[in-house]
Amino acid sequence: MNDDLAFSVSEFVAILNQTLEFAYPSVVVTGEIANFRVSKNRWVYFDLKDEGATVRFFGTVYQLPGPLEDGMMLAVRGTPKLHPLYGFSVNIMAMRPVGQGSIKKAAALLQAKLEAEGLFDPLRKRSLPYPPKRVGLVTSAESAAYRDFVKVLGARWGGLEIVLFDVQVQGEVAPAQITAAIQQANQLAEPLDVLVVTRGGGSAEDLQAFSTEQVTRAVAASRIPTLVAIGHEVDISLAELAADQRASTPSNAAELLVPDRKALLAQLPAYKRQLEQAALQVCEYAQRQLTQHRLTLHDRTELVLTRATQQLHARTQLLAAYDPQAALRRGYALVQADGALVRSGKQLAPGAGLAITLTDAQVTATVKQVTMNKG
Amino acid sequence: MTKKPEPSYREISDQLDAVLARLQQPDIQVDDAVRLYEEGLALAAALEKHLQLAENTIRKLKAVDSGS
Repeated sequence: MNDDLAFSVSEFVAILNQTLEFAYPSVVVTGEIANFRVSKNRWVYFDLKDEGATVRFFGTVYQLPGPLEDGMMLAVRGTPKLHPLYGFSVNIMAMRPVGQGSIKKAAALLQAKLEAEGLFDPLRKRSLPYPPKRVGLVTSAESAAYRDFVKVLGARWGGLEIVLFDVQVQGEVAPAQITAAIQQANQLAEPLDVLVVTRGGGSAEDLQAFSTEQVTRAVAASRIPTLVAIGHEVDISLAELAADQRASTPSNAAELLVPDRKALLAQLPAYKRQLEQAALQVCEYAQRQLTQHRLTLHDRTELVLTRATQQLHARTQLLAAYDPQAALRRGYALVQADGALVRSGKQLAPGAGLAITLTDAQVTATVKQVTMNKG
Repeated sequence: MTKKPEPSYREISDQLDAVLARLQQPDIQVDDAVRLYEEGLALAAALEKHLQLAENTIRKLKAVDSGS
């Protein structure tokens, strides 16, 4: 007993923590979650267990990769600590679900949560500029995804400016790097037209960064329209669901982003024919209209003339009614004395000379007698 | 001295419309009608010329394009 080290309780806790810190500054422990709970919306407590043991873990909600549940497999990196009051626990530095089942479960929980918040709402989706001029690209510069994307893009369309944000696309630091890259892309002085986030195929674990809450929210919050393509056709990450548009692969992302120059060139003759047809149709229409106008011009002028002719005719008839010759033809005669028309017997006396106009003769006569009519 | 720009198809077409409208007025005089008719025919001829030119230009452009 005398050889033993002797401590007060506080001293023991302090010396043990020093030893732990020296021996295990950071450990990664993998196990099944049990007794998961969140306190005051801030503190996270759970146990990791396997068949033989259970260890307590402690951290904050900010470290959560998304919602967690008992039974999921989790890998946690942290510092082992003996708390003076609450006993032994591992203080969490980072954590991520492991194993197909847990990753899927975690993703499903997170998906339900973000879905409820409306992050995947189709109404939020904006259309991408087509084709864009300045493209932001968040991926690993070393990756096949990067090479495929740039190759397909170049083959289809030229003259694009690509701003690369080189990030790790898997591993513990990936979510933070990808998130930072998306935020940085949104803050460039010269704005980007579209932001592409992509990586090639891999295991569910490899693709995990793109289903974290952090990255999914960053994609949803991007002011620049986003195109996200993660893994193969069958893989759908939450970042893809939050994106304005999703593509199945990096190559497919390039295909969606820009038209195919060759296909457009092949369509050109048809467009030209359409253009020419349309132009000629305008001319034809104008020609028909002009013909119609000419007819109208003619008709309206003719109508004016016809009306004038009719008016003239009516007046001629009226004039004819007043023609004295017509009266003479009916047997009336004009009687004049001293060059004036005789309208009354009072103008005349026996012996006066008369000039009588008939329809076909001039007669000279002398008045014998004037008898005035009675009454 | 700036030369007055050539009237457009639209401008001439509007003038022809105006002539047609005046011919429809009830108090139009024969002399005026004849003058308007003459004016209308001249405007129609000008439009015809415009159209011919346009169609020829389209066909010429097409020929140039096909030749390239």
